[in-house]
Amino acid sequence: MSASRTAACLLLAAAMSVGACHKGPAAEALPVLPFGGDFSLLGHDHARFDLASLRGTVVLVFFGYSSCPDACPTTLSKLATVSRRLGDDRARVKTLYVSVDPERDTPDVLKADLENFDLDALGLTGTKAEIDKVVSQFGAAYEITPTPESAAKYTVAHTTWLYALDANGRTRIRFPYAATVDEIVTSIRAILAEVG
Amino acid sequence: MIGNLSSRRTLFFTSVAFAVLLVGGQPTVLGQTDTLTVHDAWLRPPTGNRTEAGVFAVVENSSATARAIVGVSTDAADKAELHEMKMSGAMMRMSPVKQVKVPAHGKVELKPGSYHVMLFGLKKTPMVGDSVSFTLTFDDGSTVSAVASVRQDGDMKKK
Repeated sequence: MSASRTAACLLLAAAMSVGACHKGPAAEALPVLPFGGDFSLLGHDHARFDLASLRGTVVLVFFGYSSCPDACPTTLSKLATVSRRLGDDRARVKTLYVSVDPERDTPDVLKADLENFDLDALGLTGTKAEIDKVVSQFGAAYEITPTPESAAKYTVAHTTWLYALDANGRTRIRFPYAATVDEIVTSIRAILAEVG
Repeated sequence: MIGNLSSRRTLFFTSVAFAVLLVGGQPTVLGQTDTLTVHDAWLRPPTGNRTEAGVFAVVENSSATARAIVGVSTDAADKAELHEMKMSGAMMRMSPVKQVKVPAHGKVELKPGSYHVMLFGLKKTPMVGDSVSFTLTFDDGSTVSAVASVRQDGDMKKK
């Protein structure tokens, strides 16, 4: 078993608490995780977006906000590297960046934020109720805390998981923040292998 | 009078003790007093229309007395603050902090996912290759100025 494959197995076992790595990271080794599901939000192109429109595409989902100084640009940067590493397969993968700070993150703000990353990503925002529903679907969380002593005015704490959805919109992997580029690339290829 | 002496010494050192080092081919600007050194300072270019940026650096304290960073200033932004980013479970939290301790004969790393300097209201968008000057103030009143180079953070930093 190659080092990368071993790493993928370790990751998958840790992320999904299953012991199916003797089969390798093949499609049937990935369980369907009990969170996620279709949703509808406003895209950074000002168009209504429905997850169902991405059937046939592997989708990466994560929650963040554009004023996030650390975790979100780190994740976007990492995903840009993942995308480059996927080569021709990058056309079969779409990233969704769901804002948990709709007060500041208008579609235009999200668009400007994403333009800095070489990544096929769509920024998503909406009403607080709409966003809360998606956050809940994915078992994610966020907290907004006023910080009057800071120029930031308020801070946004949020979960940093990255979700990988298969071509049927089902959540198959939830990566921890520490997941490496290699681990994510290997796992995406395993999901892509499902649809050949 | 110790304070005055310290201030004069600080002024002396911060005036003359900038050195440009070459580490791995990358220029690193060093700022120091006789016991405090700030090196490897850098910041990410802000993305989109952001006017905020995190600044990271290594702060070393060669004295037998623990020190703390209690303030930060820069001409490059409207405001500079000390912040902490930390994970609690899978939740990433950021919050302003009043001070960052620098242990005696030790160091603190201002780095992604940990303590860092936040600049708010950048007057000019720093681009890769630019540099930004900033000054840290310590709990004994001393100050150390340093220069952060702007660089892209290509992948996640390991702690």
